[in-house]
Amino acid sequence: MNDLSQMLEDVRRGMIPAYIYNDSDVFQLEKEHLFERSWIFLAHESEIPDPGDYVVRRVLEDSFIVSRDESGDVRVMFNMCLHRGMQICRAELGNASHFRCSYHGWSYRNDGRLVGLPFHQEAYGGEDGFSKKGQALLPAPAMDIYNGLIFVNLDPRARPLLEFLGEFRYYLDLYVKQSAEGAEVRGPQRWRVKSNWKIGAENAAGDSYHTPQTHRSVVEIGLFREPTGSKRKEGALYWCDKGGGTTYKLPPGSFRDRLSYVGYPEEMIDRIEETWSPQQKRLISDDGFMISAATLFPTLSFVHNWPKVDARADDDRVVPFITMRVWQPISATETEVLSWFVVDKNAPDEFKEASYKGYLMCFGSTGMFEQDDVENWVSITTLAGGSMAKRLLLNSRMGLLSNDKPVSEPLADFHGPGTAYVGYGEFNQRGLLREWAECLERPLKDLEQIALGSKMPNRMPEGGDV
Amino acid sequence: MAVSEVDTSRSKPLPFTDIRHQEAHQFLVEESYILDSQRYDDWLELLTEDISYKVPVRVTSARSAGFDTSPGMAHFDEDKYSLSLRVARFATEHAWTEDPPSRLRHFITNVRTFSTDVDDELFVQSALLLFRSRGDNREPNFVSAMREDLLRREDGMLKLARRVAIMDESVVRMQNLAIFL
Amino acid sequence: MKNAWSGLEGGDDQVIELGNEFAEVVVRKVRTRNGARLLISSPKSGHSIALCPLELEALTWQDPSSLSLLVSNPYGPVENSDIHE
Repeated sequence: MNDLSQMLEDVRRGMIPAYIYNDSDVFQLEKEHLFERSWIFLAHESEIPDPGDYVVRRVLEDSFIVSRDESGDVRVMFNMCLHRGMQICRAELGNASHFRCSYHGWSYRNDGRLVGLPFHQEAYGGEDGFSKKGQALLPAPAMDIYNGLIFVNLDPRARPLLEFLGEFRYYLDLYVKQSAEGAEVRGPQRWRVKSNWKIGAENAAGDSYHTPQTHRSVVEIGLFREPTGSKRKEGALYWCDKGGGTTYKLPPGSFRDRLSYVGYPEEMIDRIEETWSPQQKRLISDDGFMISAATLFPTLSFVHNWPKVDARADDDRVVPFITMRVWQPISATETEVLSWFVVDKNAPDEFKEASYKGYLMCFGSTGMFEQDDVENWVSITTLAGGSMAKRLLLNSRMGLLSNDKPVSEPLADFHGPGTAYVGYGEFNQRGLLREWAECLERPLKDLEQIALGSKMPNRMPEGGDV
Repeated sequence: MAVSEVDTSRSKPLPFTDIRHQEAHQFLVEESYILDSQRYDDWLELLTEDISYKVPVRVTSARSAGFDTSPGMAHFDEDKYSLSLRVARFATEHAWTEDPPSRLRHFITNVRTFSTDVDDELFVQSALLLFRSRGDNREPNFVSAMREDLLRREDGMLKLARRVAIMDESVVRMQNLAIFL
Repeated sequence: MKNAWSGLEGGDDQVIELGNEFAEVVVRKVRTRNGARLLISSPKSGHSIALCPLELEALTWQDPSSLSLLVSNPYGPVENSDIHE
């Protein structure tokens, strides 16, 4: 890594040192300064609908059990037995009222409470030697749920999730709350890409500029009703608190006309109309913008699009789909993508099926859009590891003049929160990397050992042979 | 169209000397060469109009859980139309992920053929190892999977009517699945 | 015990009804998204419980006296358990 302050200064003026996409020192900084104290998305509530349902997810190397306990509450617990550190749940998903360690048989309720250990009396002298009362698997240092999205933060002193999300919630709702009951998800598909995690996150945040080139093939085969490429520059880009996204400009019409134009059936439009706030609806009715891709810092991205799922039909019928993905870093040069299909819980079954089909055709491990994206990202990452990349500052200043004034003024009458521009620009990629720079610069506070809710240290017998 | 089901744990496969097994095996070998050389228009010709082509998402679950694929989610869940769109995309000049093309090798082995209760349909199980190499400085990738195919005789020719390819990894170690299993 | 299982469909699994002069229960397998449980309900009292495989196996470890403990407090949980909060 070159000089940190120089690197951050370059990033802040939109000149990106190419090596930040393949550098183990930078990755080490990201681990400690960013991933260990950012809100990271783990799972959607609909993946664990019933008591006992659980999934196992990671933040970097830390494995967590995300479970719904017997009283219906969501729990996120470090997946490590308190005794000898064995991984408790080894399946990716399942249903269990209790978890039992395969090493020595310690048992925990699915809310984390330790309920038993074999030979408690003989081995520990019972409660006197080892008081199991009050012991529990380490809960995630901080956990909160917004609209079914379960987030954790490894920093127990992190500011609350809602505060972190800020006004970006306005946009999150558009993806995951199309009725009072919210969304359900399928998946995730999981696959590993030899690419730095930031590239995908930046791409989804604001890169409408790549569509005409990278995704030309999907336009040519008629997967879209209009020539998407040229349409992109009419859309607005917005950045708001911790996230940003892209939109498409829709043809004239009312709120309902425009939702119908992208393929939502009447009954879904009814529910959307009831659910979104007047201000949220104005983004569509007054401004004429429909959400496309977005990223919430650092690693959660969304896509909303409306392909022609069945072009055999004579009409121009399109079906919208939503996907959500996490760019989970494995190393400086490898990312595991977890990609979910998202659909409103109350959507009619035939809509769910057609929308799922649209997702598979466009995004995910087999999606025709995503296939070409990844090819680019892998190449960038590979090249960014060399010595020439250490000398190259990539120009990420699109939308800015040399005096840092924007090429065109921000939209004055945009109804969404944050700042929006029409046309191409790398405002959001810069926004994301600005957040990144902030994190890397913030000094580390010492994390107290087991300040996480376990009463283990105080409860250990004094003078015991530990 | 009736779709045959075969319980492979109970049924006996056809002997290797049975002409139907030999035809099925030959079909898979021919198909492999077509997929390796990415002659996808020719591949579409091998598929029936009502083809169902599925690659479920594999998950790690307990031995007794009764499932080992992700509820409701697949990598591929295709019909003839969506497959032909994918093929049409490769034929454009802008499908960057496969241009330059990957070097592919579909290794097919452990082939078992079962007769079904429909005269013109054979149920065929096989093991697939797919080797994929891209560019000159990337590590190559593998996909290992079990295929369960339904072959149907149409106009005297065997065609693929259904494929379920069950991958052996829950996390795919490949940048995408811009290939067919 | 009231629970969230009432909406779950057991598919075409067999429903088992058992009764004697003191109790009547209906037993069936219910699927959750990520697994399955055995739903035991008592139509008369309205109580039901969905047991996971580990809890069911734990029943096989019991002897008549520990099961007597379960029966000892009609329509309520075992008292004085150190696991209860």
